[in-house]
Amino acid sequence: MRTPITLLALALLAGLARAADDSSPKALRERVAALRVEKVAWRNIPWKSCLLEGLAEARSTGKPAILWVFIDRPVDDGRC
Amino acid sequence: MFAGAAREAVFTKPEVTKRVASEFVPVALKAALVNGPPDDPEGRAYARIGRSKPAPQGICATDGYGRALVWTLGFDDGASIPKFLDHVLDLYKSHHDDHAPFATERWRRYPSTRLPDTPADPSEGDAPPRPPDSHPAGHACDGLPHVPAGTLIARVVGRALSADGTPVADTDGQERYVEDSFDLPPIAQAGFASAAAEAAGERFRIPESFSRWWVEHAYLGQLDVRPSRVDRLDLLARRTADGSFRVEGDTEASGGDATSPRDDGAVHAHRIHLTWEGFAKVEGKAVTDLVLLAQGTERVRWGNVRMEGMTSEPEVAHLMGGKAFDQDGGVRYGIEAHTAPADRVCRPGEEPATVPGGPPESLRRKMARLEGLVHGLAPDVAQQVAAMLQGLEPLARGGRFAEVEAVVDRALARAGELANSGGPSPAPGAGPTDGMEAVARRLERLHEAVHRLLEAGKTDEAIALLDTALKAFEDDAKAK
Repeated sequence: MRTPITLLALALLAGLARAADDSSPKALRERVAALRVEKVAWRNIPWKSCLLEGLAEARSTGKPAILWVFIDRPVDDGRC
Repeated sequence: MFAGAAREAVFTKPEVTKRVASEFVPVALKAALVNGPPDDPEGRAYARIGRSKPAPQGICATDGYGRALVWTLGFDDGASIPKFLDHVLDLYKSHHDDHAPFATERWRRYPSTRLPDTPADPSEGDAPPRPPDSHPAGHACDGLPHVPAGTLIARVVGRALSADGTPVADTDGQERYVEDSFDLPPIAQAGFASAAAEAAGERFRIPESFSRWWVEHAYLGQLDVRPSRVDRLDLLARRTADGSFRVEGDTEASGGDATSPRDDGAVHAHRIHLTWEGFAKVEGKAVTDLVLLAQGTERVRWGNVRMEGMTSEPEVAHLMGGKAFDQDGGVRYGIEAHTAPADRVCRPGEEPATVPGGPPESLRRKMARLEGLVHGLAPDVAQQVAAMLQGLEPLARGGRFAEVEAVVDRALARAGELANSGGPSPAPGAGPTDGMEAVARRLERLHEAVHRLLEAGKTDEAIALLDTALKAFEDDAKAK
């Protein structure tokens, strides 16, 4: 008679352990990392943030610079 | 809205991204610096570019000296974008060996709607001005300024969820997938550390000065729909066995009302409910590590009343108006923050002054004066000044009021020029105003006014406006 209760208690403890694992800092980091998509279309252009660096490269490579002027910080992956 | 629309409609097309990455040098610039350049060598390069801008935001091509070849605010259709890139290469071939200055082409939409060129700047003389190759030692880039030591650099990722709870696959639109970042200043971290110390092991309420930073960045959509109200902030923390702090709680944020358009016609509504969990590590007065996960529901709608009836036109034709969307459903966010690396941190002596509490009286007075000046400007002109003020809020919340005041001083100077001239004037440092430039600016404003009337279906009003301008000319011709 004790066996089903023991099994139930073990199952409950296992569930609680899994829940704790899911909420550990390591698990949270993994869940955050899983949200991020590396290959997004807009990351295919390597936008520079520094105007001087961009113009220097334009001079050294003989290419024109394309400037995307927009509101707020243009750090890569930043919201716009 | 321009930036989000440009990224989604222009800079995600495979043929465009491939060409921009290989045939050009792509640079993303803050509108605030182009519209209100600082007074340093890099600022003078910004001023040279900003001199010819047709709007506070846009797409520009320059040669390696920062001489603007062409600007555009949009395109007739998707097929026009590669043609624009071809045109840039032709202009570059024509001009890049020129010593003499040249006029800048400007387009509202390439290739159908051209704006008056900005004439060449005669003050540049016979040799192209050469911007510095790099920043002076110890001087931070204006585009990526250094932060005070101990600042947490936080990265946010947000995804809309399908009905089955899995993240949606589409990542092109910010209303479905968003990445963002923000700086969490030491002053806000100290508030959390202080509350934790006072709690002495008990559960405590997380100070709003700390939590608002991440709650306000957990939203889908572009910057324009950022929630302006935090309606509920029930976030608690408790010390765990390993000495870190577990974060839990619920938040609600909202913004817009979907009924009151802005001056530019934009209208939106936003509501977010999130349940949070996470961990924070504290060392002394600093938070050294932060990881957060939130899940909940979000409804965000964005549109522009001026674009009603234009749904048949391509998205690239209306970059300035943004793209309408209506996202409603489950959402999940992740935030990780780490202490700023050494190459992002201010050098000794470079640390900005931070002041606890509110802004000083001098700054309050200047903000009030600026508000008064801006209200007297036409909306399209006031946008130039507004663009200069972007990015100020994080500085103010970090107590960096001296830096805020420096930007406000530049905005006041610019607003004053615009108010006195009755219209746009050349950016500071761009050289003297000549008659042709004044003519070009007025033609541009007339063109803008007629275009807006036509977009709103007010053809008769557009004709009346042009008749008024032409009447003065025709009356003068008859008198002669």
